[in-house]
Amino acid sequence: MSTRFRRTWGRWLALAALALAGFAPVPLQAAGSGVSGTQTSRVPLPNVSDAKGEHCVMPTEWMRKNHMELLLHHRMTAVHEGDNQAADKFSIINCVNCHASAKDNSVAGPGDFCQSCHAYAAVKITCFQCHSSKPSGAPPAFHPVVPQGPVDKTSSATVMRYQAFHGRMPNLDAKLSAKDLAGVMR
Amino acid sequence: MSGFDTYRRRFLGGVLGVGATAALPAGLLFWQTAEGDVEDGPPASGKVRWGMLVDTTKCSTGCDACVRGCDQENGLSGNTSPTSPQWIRKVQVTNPRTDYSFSLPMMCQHCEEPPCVDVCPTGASFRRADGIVLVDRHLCIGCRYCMMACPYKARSFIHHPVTDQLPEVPRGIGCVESCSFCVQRIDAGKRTTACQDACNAEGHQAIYFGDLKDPNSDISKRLASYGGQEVLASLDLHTGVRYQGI
Ligand code: SF4
Ligand code: SF4
Repeated sequence: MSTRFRRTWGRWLALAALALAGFAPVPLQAAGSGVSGTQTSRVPLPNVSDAKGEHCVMPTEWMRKNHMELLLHHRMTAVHEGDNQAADKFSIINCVNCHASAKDNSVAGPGDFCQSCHAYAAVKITCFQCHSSKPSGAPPAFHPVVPQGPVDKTSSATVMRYQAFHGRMPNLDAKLSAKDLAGVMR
Repeated sequence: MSGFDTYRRRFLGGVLGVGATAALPAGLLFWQTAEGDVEDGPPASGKVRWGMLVDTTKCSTGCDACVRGCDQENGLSGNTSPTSPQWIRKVQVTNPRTDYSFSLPMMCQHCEEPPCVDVCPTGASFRRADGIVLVDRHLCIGCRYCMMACPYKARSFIHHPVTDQLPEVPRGIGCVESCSFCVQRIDAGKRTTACQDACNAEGHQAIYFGDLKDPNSDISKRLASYGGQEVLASLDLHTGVRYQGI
């Protein structure tokens, strides 16, 4: 390899590095701090703060990377296997219930939770061509703001958690099994 | 192994893979193992076959309560233009020889051997384990072969964008749809359909819904005592909807 070739090559590399540094997108973490609508670049940062309840059904970082996998999985279990969507804490219904904005009661309008991040990432959302982008009216059936206590079907906290998760009262005549309490106990 | 088993394995192996498992809270794993059987309605199972019985002698000419009930339950507009989706229609039938005339509701007959499923090129049109024939709108490409194949003209195509869908009934432009036996109710553990409720509310009691495989269900007992005919029975599609008095 000639010296001249190496020099040219080096110049190209330097140029490429400059270009990369210049056009590197603002890392998403900056948006994760809960600040919404801050304009620190040409692109408006996504609004990730619209949410009711204490925290997401999964850690935020995990959700950011994997929510599409959960949705893909649940579309199979919901449509083909008949899992009840309203009572499933990972269903898109409950995502919308929690993340709908106070502004327009939706996740898909300009600046709303889903739409703003997808606009930022330049990924088209087609979910809401069919799915409702508005909450179902029922309260979110997950992470109820009640203290976690011992599993005791006579304790009102357990009954409240059960009711919040399943959308109905537990059958108090029957013994509560571990299965009944899946999702109620976290 | 079905496609979904393969799919499920890939999901569990990928998302809940060895590396990721350690980082997950116990809740998700618990949910994965208990999935499907903790909620109000059990998942679709081959142990039941949902069916409907329509008593045409009780069905009243001119009444369209069932149609309105369906529209309301499933978020349909109620328009009847040629391009408006209709899941259930009232049909007036007259025998030209005797002039005997009666009315009946027609909807997807939830065939045991559904031609719509046979022709679907993408696997979108499918029959659930419990006998309900549905369109998986995630897979439907809107080719409308199934509409041509259906001998009962039960399916509709959504031509226009839909807004304000009901959360439990997602539906949108470019897909084919038809009566789902109110699948969102069944999966939530309810055991009546909207058309049945509407008919009963009008005081006609012409529609019965239930499990054809359970000999003690109301519908099975009625079929055993009074019989019930399939429309176009000669096609051998073994429909889930039966009629009395036709
Ligand atoms: S009635 Fe038509 S749409 Fe319904 S299952 Fe039979 S062929 Fe399919
Ligand atoms: S319109 Fe959709 S459901 Fe019907 S045959 Fe085509 S892909 Fe299948």
